[in-house]
Amino acid sequence: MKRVTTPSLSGRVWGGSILLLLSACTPHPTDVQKSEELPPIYPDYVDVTIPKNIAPLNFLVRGEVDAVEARVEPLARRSQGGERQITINARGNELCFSLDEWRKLLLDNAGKELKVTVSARDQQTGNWTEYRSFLWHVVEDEVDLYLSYRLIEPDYEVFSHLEIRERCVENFEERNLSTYKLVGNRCMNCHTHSVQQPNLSMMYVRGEGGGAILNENGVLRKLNIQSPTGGSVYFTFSPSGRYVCFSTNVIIPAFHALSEKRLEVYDDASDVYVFDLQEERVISSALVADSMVFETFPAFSSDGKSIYFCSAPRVSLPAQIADLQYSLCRIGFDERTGTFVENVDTIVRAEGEKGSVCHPRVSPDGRYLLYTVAAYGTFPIWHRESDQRLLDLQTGHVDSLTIVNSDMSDTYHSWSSNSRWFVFASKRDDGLYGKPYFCYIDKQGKAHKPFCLPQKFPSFYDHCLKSFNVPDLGAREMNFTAEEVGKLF
Amino acid sequence: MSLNKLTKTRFRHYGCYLLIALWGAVCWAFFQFCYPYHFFYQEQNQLFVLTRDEWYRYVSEGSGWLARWVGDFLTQFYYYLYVGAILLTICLLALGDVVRRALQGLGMRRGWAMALGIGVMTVEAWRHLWYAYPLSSTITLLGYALVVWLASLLPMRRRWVRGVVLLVVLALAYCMFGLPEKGKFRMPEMEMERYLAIDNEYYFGHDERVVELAKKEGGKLNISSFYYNLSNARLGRLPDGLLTLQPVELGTLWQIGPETPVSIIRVMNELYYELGDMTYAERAAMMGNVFTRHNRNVRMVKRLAECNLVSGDSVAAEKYLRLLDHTLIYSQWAKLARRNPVYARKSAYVNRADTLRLGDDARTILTELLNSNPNNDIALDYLLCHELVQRNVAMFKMYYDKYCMDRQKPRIRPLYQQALLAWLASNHATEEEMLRYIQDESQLRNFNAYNAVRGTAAAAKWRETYWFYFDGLTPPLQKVKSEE
Repeated sequence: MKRVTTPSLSGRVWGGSILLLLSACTPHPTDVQKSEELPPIYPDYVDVTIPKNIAPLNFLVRGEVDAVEARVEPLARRSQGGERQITINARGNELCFSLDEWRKLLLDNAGKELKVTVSARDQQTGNWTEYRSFLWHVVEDEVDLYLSYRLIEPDYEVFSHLEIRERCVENFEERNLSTYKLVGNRCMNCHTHSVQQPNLSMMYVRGEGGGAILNENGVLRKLNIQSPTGGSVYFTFSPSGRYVCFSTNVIIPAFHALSEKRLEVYDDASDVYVFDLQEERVISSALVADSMVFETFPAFSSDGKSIYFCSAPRVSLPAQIADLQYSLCRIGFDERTGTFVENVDTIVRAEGEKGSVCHPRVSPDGRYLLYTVAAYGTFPIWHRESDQRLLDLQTGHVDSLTIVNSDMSDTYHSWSSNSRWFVFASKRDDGLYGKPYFCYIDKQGKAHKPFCLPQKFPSFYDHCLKSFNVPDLGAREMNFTAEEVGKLF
Repeated sequence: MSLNKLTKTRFRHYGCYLLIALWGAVCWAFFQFCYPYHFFYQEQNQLFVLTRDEWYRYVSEGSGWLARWVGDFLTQFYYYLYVGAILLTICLLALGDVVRRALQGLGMRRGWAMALGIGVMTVEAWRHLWYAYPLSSTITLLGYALVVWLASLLPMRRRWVRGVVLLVVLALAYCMFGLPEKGKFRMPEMEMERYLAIDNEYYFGHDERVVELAKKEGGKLNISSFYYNLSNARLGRLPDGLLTLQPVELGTLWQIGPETPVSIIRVMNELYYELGDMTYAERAAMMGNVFTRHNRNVRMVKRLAECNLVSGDSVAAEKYLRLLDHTLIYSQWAKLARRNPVYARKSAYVNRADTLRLGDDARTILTELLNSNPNNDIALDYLLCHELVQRNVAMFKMYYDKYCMDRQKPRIRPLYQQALLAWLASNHATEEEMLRYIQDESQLRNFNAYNAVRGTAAAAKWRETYWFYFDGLTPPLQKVKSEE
């Protein structure tokens, strides 16, 4: 029988007294003035849709504020009453929820809406203002629990102190999947799950003695994936896990004279191949390795029968960079024989998009394909105009995701295993540092307003000088440690 | 006890304190007067933000979090004159004293404990001669000594109990203080101090002081010539002093890349910022930030804010200003920066047209800046001087025509007149052409006088003229050596 530990009476008295004391010290709203404006909160959690298994959406109130209150309550009161609500008060401008209370609140209100009312006290005048309430739409569909990303400064020419981390999105637990401390401060590229499962994943550790680190059921091994035109750069797994489709890219970094455009990265050559993990051989086809065409960003379809990739006719670079426009293409692949089949189909023409298509990712249920469109080129993370698009593979309808995209770069998306959520990197806050945002796609295919990965302290992002690079969702915790990665070097 | 013995004991007692006071005075005087710029370097090479989330970041980094937090907290005050040497001396004296008390607590005789205490603080002071040795490492040692001393004060009669308690507190101490840095035992880094002196005086905006220090250095430090020219450029007199410090270093041939030493990356940020190229200034500042202990360098963070204020990207600027708002030292700077008109004025010099650059080609960078704003005198002087230093008089003449003569704005400086004279003479210019370009008649007379003695020892009289330099009679341009 499970033993339940309850605090003793004296413990409760002491605990209660301390809480009472703390609560007495925390200012509460008095003589509140109502405002029709929405509260200036950060991150922007106003009217967002959240899964029932997300960590507390801690936030702060911008401005000269020295005390805050947030009241979270169900929008529609149930007839029985007794429904949960949370009211938190704090000195300063940060509001952090108790993890336990938050969990209960979300579980109680899954599939419903929560009304959030924020009040703040002006530091100068001491006056309280109650802002217009907003909603949190809590949905039953859960997001995959684990998110991996690389933390790197937003200047991809150089690196130092790189880490690939895994975060549990249900709470604030985070750990290293690989750290510079254990791999000799080498460059590391992003970690990618196979169909959001932890039993198969891969990442790159560059430099002498480096290579692709393949994780198969927690057993790590170094792979040397070499094609006729170089090593692999962008890759995804086939649904069966036997194949990896990858691109080889001769990457050239360049800089814009205009300071707001900053960095440009383009390929001097790129081709697409498939690597057979079982036989450790490279499979090629002239259809996707044409020297007169740039082929990149390969991604398997959810049934493994085709590979989506981006393709652009070769132009003279960097002079014609603005003419470098990639289209979304598809080629058949036979997993049984390990061969490319059929011809290349163009799914989304660059001319039609009036831009360059990048980073195709098919939802695990095969219904949708997410991609990014930038004005030109192949590095949308540095293109402010980069936006995501959602292609319905059944109807061919393209959703421009206006509620999801921002006026800064939005790209590097990854699907949750239930195809209801995707995460992407957005630079919407400052134009420089990418942060993971989660977006819900409901059963009707409608996208909802995304929200930023919550942090234990809401000011975390203000003080973080690293980008969350290529966030990737996984249904379960990875089954290897950074120490095991370090042992390979 | 006899009076004589008592006097001796007292003498020993007070003598020891006198010795320690003397040690402290010497330590303070050395660091204050011989090493002041090392403190500025350490202060700038971190960013201490006083917030809950930053505290949590320290804690989540694992063992040694308290030592790192305290060390970095104290290091931020190195910003103030005199505080660095005082803080370091106090920490070292505290270390020596606590080590002495701890050893006495463990049963060592006072004299030996005192000697060992002085030894520890001397060794620790020596380790601080290395520019990158952090104060947190001294705090680590101090922390261990403190817990051992406190443990020794506990009333425990049984030796094994004391042993167990000591082990437990040492384990706790490991969590809080971690392990001290290995560090490096160095002789006083006086060349580094001179380098940091010039670098910091430039940072403080003391251009005349930079010129003075650089002249004192002569050609011993390549970086001195670089900053000498940059300060002269800020003072509007780059061509006037270009050939004074040789070998001449403008920094226009340096390339930023993964292999570039961080010291060069950081000074390149100063050059690009002064020229008005915010893309490259920001890039260098970002890279300068990457290669620090915690990937944070407050000087680079300030520069990142400035770059974005100049380029008008207020959202990006706010990212860095908000960070600085939460520091004790720079919050006022951040507040003032938001309304400092200097950035709006500087924004007139940024690039207006877009091109894609693959490298740090000086001609491309400078001509693009000039095409965007022909009144960018610093960029103009750097372009003209770059060609002259390369002895490429034809290119100099071409740019002079394009950016000075064609705009009816001849830039009459002795150096440029000398170079023009050399070009005009070698191209058999007409008298009319001569009159159009040469407006300083004294240079014409000097040119004739130089030609009369050219190739002879008497030519040395003209060593600060461009003709002398052009004839290759001064040392050629050298690549700078890394300081880090």
